[in-house]
Amino acid sequence: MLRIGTHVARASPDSVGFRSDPRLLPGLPANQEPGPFGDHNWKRRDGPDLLRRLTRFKGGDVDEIDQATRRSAQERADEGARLAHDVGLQARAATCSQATTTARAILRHADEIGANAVVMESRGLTGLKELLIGSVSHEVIQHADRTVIVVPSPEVAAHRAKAFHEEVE
Amino acid sequence: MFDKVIWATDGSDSADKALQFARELAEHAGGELIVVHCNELTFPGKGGGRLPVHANEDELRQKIERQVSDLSGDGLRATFQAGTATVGEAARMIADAARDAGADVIVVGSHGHSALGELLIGGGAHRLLHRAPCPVLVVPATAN
Repeated sequence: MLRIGTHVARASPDSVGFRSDPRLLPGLPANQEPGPFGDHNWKRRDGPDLLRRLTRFKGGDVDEIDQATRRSAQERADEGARLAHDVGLQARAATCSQATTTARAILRHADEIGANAVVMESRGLTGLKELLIGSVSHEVIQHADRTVIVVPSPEVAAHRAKAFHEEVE
Repeated sequence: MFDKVIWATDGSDSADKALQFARELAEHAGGELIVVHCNELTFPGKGGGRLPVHANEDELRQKIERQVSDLSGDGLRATFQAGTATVGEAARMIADAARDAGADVIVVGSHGHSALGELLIGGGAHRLLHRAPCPVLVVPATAN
């Protein structure tokens, strides 16, 4: 079975405190960069993405794809947990493999751990790209029964600011 | 962390649900709560006239003004910003308000339309995700 990796990092941010025992669930697909904790210096790596792996293993061993995706998810979950830890949160990484969409996997995991909120980064996809590739954050919001915080990445925020200034001018 | 919190409301029950979260965030940080409401107007008709999308717009606005007054009465620094936009453009107005205010987060309610509903009716929260200069906290109507 081909597994689409999804990684999550759980955090208990006392500093946020909008619940007595808050648990946030930063959810990201394995092929998406983390960054909701605002580490603007976090570098985009040449890390494995699913498409490249599928190309590399074309006609090859699906188990290898599984393992590679799982490793990738774990690496990114660890990275997310480190970022959360760096800003003073208690965090631990967790990964899950489910034969479903990334958004539903995130929500199912949020259900399992009773998360108070899901924190995600916005990739800023619009138009045709959004239609073709899909927006994980949109699907999460559409189906979530808990709060979802969508944080624009620094690149997306900068792009929007630029677009705004161009509109004004 | 959230010194300036924007609560974007259309006066609906789901927006009211989001208020609880917006209020908690602002209170926790000792910050300011900026209440933003957009009166969406229809496209101009033959005579050039435009009407509010919500027939009870006046009531909604009065309700929001009461909510702002209650928030201020409870000791919160709450301000009210109202604006108008063509139907479907409320997200732009809210994003602009957030940018102008230097907001740290926008809190909105979500009606939780189905995929078809999103396509047909559109989702203000979704549109906002495409424009917001800051994080957006979406509170679904079913949130506990």
